[in-house]
Amino acid sequence: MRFGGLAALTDVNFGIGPGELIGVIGPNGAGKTTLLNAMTGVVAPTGGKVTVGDEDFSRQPAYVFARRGIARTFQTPRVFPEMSLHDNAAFGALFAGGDLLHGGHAHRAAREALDYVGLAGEERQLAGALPPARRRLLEIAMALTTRPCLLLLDEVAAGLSPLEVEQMGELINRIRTEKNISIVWIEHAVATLMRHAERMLVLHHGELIADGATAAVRADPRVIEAYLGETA
Amino acid sequence: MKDWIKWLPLIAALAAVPWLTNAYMVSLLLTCLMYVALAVSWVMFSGPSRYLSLATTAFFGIGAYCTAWGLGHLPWPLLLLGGALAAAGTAALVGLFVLKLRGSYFAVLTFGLSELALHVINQTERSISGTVGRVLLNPPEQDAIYLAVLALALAAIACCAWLWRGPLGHALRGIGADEDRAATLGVNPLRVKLAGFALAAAFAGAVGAAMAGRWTYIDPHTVFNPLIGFQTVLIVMVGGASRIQGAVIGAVIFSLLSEFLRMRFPYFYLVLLGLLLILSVLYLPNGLIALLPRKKAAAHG
Repeated sequence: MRFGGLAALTDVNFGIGPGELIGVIGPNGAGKTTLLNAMTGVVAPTGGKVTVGDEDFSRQPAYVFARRGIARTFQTPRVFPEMSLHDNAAFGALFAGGDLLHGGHAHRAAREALDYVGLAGEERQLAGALPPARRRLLEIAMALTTRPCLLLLDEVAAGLSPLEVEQMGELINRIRTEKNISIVWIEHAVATLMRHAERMLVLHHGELIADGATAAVRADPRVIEAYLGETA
Repeated sequence: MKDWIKWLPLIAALAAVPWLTNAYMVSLLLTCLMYVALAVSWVMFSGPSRYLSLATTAFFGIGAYCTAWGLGHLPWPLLLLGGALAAAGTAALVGLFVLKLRGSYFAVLTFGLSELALHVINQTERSISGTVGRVLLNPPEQDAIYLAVLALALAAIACCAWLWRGPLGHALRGIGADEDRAATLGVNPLRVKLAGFALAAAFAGAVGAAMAGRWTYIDPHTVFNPLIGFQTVLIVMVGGASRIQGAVIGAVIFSLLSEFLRMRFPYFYLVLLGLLLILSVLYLPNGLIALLPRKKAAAHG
């Protein structure tokens, strides 16, 4: 993945299995968000391949990824501010969740998803009036109504209070276990992430320097160097 | 359903105007209704998607030329349909290219489209038919034109209400708020924009085909007048783009006001009209419609 002369990601190879919860960490500028953009068709990779199942998705536009069951959130939540929470949540159900073609259960899907993330009773409120922490929940509800098999989370715990971070962790765990959705979770708060994810990917300067069980990654000297070298 | 039943008396009164009043009233209301139809057709796509289109002129002119070419060969109501289809077809074809552009680039290109259409037709007429304009023999009666434009205005309003309530309107609003985000939620932006743009163009084309009957002489510079496109945008800015009523109120006020000013101040009515427009945009950025209470909010609040 290159931007002009800058290589943002090189030689990053990994696969995601069903029901996995994978944490992605790395210092600022390591290429975490670029990775999500390449995995959702937001920015097409300049080289390399993105495959979903057996299909090559490298050149597919974002809406094809969404319809194939790959949903995401954004580092800065991108909700539709002038629409109600209900309409925000129904959006994905209509256009990616297949509700437009199959009889229109978008309304029910939206209510269920809002209820699931803890935004029940606020359906009529405008998304623009929502405080930032709750916008992150709304984004997760918007992703859930697309009926994803893979959910990509970009720093959903950033800016939350310790209690909210804890609740977010529980929610993500529930989504994984109850809905059997694979999750790739990027987070700056390494400790939180390591508590929930069983597998960790570590990016550093656009390269994948570690990929393995959380305990093993925690003990990896290259990871310690990349992190401690920066923070110590 | 209940919503439009209460408008039935007004619709019936409007339909009876040719039998109840004089030719001047019919002509005045015809202008009114033309701007209602054009403004509603514009707002149905550009309102939610926020793609500011100046192509109304192009679609109007294409429709007008359908009548200019077809009158005498085909029945006039069929020409309205022809104008709608020709304009929608042009919108879909051109949209494939211009709808990939955003913001001011899109606006500038749609303006260019109107100029392009003008010169293409001008050139075709000169080289193939050897004419600069066309005289319409046996144009339809003013009353027939009036009723046709009334029907088109009502159809545009109904279509806009239907569009905004359904998934296509939802997708257009998503595109207007954050196009890339809408795509990550499964919307195919180009396809949605093409559908909306072509649907809006169909109404502008039909209005052009209907209004052409009013002028006995047609040339490209009259029907591809860039003012048609600019005035349509201004009307919606004055009325407000968030609700259909905004476009309707804007169109009625705009046409009545310009008529009144033209009668009273024939020499500088355009100056006054311009001033009023500037003031309304400055002090009512969300349009006149912002002055009216929202029915929905009242019902829930």
